[in-house]
Amino acid sequence: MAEPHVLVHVPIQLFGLNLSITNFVVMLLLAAILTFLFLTGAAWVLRPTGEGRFPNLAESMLEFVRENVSEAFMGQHGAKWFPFVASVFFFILFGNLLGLVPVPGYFHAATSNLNVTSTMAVMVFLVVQGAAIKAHGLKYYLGLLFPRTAPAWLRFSLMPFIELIGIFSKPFSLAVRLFANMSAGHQIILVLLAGDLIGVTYLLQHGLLAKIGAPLPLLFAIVMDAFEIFVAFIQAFIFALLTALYLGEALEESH
Amino acid sequence: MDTNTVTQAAAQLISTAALAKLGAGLAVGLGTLGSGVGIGIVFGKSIESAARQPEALPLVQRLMFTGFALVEAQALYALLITFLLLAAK
Repeated sequence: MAEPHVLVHVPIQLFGLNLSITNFVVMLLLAAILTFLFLTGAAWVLRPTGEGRFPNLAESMLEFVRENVSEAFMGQHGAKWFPFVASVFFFILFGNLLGLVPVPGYFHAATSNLNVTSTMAVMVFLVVQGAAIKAHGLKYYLGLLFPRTAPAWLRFSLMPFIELIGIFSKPFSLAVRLFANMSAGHQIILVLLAGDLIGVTYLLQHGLLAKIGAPLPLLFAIVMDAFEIFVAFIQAFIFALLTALYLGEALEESH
Repeated sequence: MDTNTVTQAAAQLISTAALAKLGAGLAVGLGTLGSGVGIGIVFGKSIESAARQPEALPLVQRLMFTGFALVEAQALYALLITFLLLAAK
């Protein structure tokens, strides 16, 4: 498996943890800066005249997130939690899209690193638990682990374990889904291009038919690159959607 | 027979690294089976419902992309195991 190039800029070892500034950290900072510039820049351009193409773009994306994610999954809490869901969406979107910039060896998608996606998933997990505790108090866990809709013989023996696995599998699946989608796409493109290089040298020694068939892996790699843009948007949307879904589930009134 | 001697004899025939690569191939191969069937069902039902009721197309499209990403993730869990197995020695 091809390892991503991690270039260490500033090595920092703190309390036995490797907290160096690597190119992935630079990618994360770049994603955060781009999110900030995109959203506040759109508001700043909007202020003088009240119209413009760039704020229109930002507004249409924000409206898409608000209507399809916040309002659809969180009901009446949607307006209050919309800034959080939109921030998650745009940060992951820019984190995914930066991996498509063709600077060799330096630019990687920040989210193609399992550490980054795990951090996002743990953050969502903590926010969901915190919101649930704030809304319902600690007896939220009693209602969750011992659900009223289960028969009594299951309710106190097996259901706590099943529900506990459910609580922890959600952030795990969030992290792995985003990481695997981002890194798998890049792996496929790498394999196609590396195979194309080897294949082209072999085939060019073997005649005219080979010259016709040789560019096909390259064309397929270009198609996969276009698919990667699509996957970047979809994965950001899915992460934001599941965040809103878990928040809505945690905040709803009674089981 | 003693399981230790069987294991040692098998390890002399096939190394664990080779077995890991074999397992990696099996993992992703079998893992994408279910995901393929699932994606087919998701898109088929979406197309069918959009053809029955064209004014429901925006709603169906939104749910279709949601379902696609969730089903695709299952195949990618298998791909993650493949990556882990390929890195074994």
